[in-house]
Amino acid sequence: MLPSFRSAPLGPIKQKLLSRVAPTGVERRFPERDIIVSKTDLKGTITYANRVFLDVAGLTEREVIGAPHSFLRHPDMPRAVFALLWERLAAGKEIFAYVVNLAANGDHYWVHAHVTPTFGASGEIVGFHSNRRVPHPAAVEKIKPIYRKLREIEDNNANRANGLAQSRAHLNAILAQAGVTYDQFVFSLAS
Amino acid sequence: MTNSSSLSQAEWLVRLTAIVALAGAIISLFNDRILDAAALGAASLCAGVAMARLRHARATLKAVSAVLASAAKGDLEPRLVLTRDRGEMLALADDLNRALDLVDAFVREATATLACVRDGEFHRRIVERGLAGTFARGAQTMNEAVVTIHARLSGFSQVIGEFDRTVGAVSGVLASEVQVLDGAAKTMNVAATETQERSGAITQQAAETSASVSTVSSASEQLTASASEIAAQTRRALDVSRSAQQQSSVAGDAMTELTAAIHEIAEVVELIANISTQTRTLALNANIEAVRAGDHGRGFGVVATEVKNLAAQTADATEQIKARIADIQAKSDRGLHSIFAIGQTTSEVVEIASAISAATEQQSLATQEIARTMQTVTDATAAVTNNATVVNTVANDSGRAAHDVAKISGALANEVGRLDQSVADFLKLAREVASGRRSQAA
Repeated sequence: MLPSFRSAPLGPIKQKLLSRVAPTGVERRFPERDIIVSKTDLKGTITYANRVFLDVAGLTEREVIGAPHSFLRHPDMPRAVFALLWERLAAGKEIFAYVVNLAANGDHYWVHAHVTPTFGASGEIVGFHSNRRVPHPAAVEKIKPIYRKLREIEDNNANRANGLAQSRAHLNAILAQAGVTYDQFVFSLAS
Repeated sequence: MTNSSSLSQAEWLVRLTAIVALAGAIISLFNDRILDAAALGAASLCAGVAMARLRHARATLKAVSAVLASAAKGDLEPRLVLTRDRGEMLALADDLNRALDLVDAFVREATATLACVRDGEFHRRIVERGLAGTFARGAQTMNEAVVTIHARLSGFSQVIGEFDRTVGAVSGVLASEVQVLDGAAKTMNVAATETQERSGAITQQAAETSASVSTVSSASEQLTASASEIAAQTRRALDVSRSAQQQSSVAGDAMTELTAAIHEIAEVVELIANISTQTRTLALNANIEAVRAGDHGRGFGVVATEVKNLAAQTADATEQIKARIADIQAKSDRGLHSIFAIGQTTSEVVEIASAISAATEQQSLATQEIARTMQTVTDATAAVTNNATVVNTVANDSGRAAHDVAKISGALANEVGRLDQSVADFLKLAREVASGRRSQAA
C-alpha cells in the first residue's frame, strides 16, 4: 500500500485544483488482486472511496468524499462512453467499461470499471457503486484507438450535443459491424 | 463493572485516576507541598486527556459495530468513512471496508451474472480478478456453471432443432400418409360399391345365360331328333337308290344281250340278202339259157322269170328287215344309253345320300357336342352365380372395411393434427426454455 497523508479539511479547494491539473502522460498501475471501489449518491457525489482508490489517485478521503465523481475524468475519455454509462445506470442496469482516470498529480491509470446501481429497500435506485479492476493490457490496446476516434468526433464538432450524438452513432456503427451488443463487445475485448 | 468491556473498565479506571490525582494535588497544595501538587495535577490532566482519547476510540468502535450490524442484516452499503483515528483503529476501519467491498463485489458480480443467465444471456461472466480466496473459488465455480448451463442449453436447442426436423418431418409424413389412407379408403369404397353393382349385374346376366342355355338345350334336343329322322330317311333313300342301281344294271345287261341278238339277226338278214342276190343272178342266167333253147326253153324261161321275181321280193323284204333292225338297234342303243344314265344318276343319288348320311352323322355328333357344351355352360353359369354372390358378400365386407378405414383415417388425421399442435407447442415451449425467455416470463 502506498503511503497516504491525512490532510487538513481543504477538500473542496483541492478538488478545484485537481479539475485543472494537466495530464503528465505517466501511467500508474495497481496490484491485480486489488479492486478500486467507490460509491456515489444519485447526483454522482462521492460518498465512499476505498483505500486502493485513495492510494492510486493520490488523494485523501477528505479530498474525495463530497466531490463529484467526474472530477477524476481524464480528457482522453470520450463523453459518449459516460453518456451510455449514465443511460444504463438510469435504467437500473449494470455496465462494464474500460476507463482511463486522472490521478491527483496528472498521472493516469486504466481500469476495467463495473458500475452498478444500488437499490433501496423498495427497489428504487439510491446510489451507484463502482468496482474497478486492473484491465487486461490487450483490451486497453484495443479500446484506445476507438476512444481516440470517438473523442476526435466529439472535439471536432462545435456543437457539444451534435458531437456527442455523432460519437455515439459511431460507437453503435462499430458494434453493428461486429454484430454484437455493447456488453458482448466489452467482454470480448478481454479474451 | 462485571458486564463492562475492557474499554469501559479502562475509562472508569482513568476517570478514577484523574479524580484521585486531582484530590492528591489539592491536598498537597493545602499542605504547601507545591511540587507534589504540580505533579499530581499533571497526572490528573493526563488522565483527563486519556479519557477523551478513549471516548474517541469508543466512537470508532461504535461506528465499526454499526456497520457490521448493518452487514449482518444483509445491508452491505454502509462503510466507515472519515475515520478520525490512526494506526490500529484506522487499519480496523480499512480492513472492515475491504472485507465488505470484497463481499459486495462478489454479490454484485454473482447477482448480475446469474441475472443474465436468467434472462438467457450467456456472454456475462463473474469477473474473477480482484476476488480472493473463497470468493475467487465461488466465482470460478459459478462461471463454470454458467458455461455448463450455456453448453447444455445449446445442446438442448440442438436437440430441439433435431427433434423439430425429425418429429416434424415424421408428423408431416404421417399427415400425408393419412391423406393417402383416406384417399385409398374412399377409392376402396367406390370400388366396393362398383363391385357390388357389377356382381349384381353378373348374377342377373348369369340367370339370363342360364335361360338361354335351356332354350339352346331344348333346341339341340329337337335338332338331334330331326337329325335322326333325316338319317333314317336318308338310309331308306340310300336303300331305294341301291335297289334302283341294281335294277338298272340288270336292265343294261338285258339290253346288251338284246343288241347282240339283233346283231346276229342282221347277219342272218345279210346272208338272206346275199342268197337273194345270188338267186337273182341265177334266174337271170337261166333266163338267158331259156332264150337260147328257144321254145324248148320257154317254160324254163317262165320259171326263171318267177324265180327272179321271188328273189326281188326277198331282196325287198330283207331291205325292210334291215331297216327295222337298224331302227331297233338305234332304239336299243338309246335304251342302253338311258339305262347307263339311270345307273349313273342312281350312283350320284347314292353318293349324295351317303354324303347326307355322313353329314347327318356329323350333325348329330355336333348336336351332342352342343348339348354337352350347354351342360358345361350351365355348370359354369351356376359357378358364376355362386362366385358373384361370394364377390357381392366380399364387396359388402370391403365396403364396410373401407368405411371403417375412412373413419379411422379421419380420427388419425385429427390425432396427427393434435400431434402437430403438441409438437409445435412443445417446440415453442422448449425454445423459450432454451432461450431463457420462459423463465423470465414465468
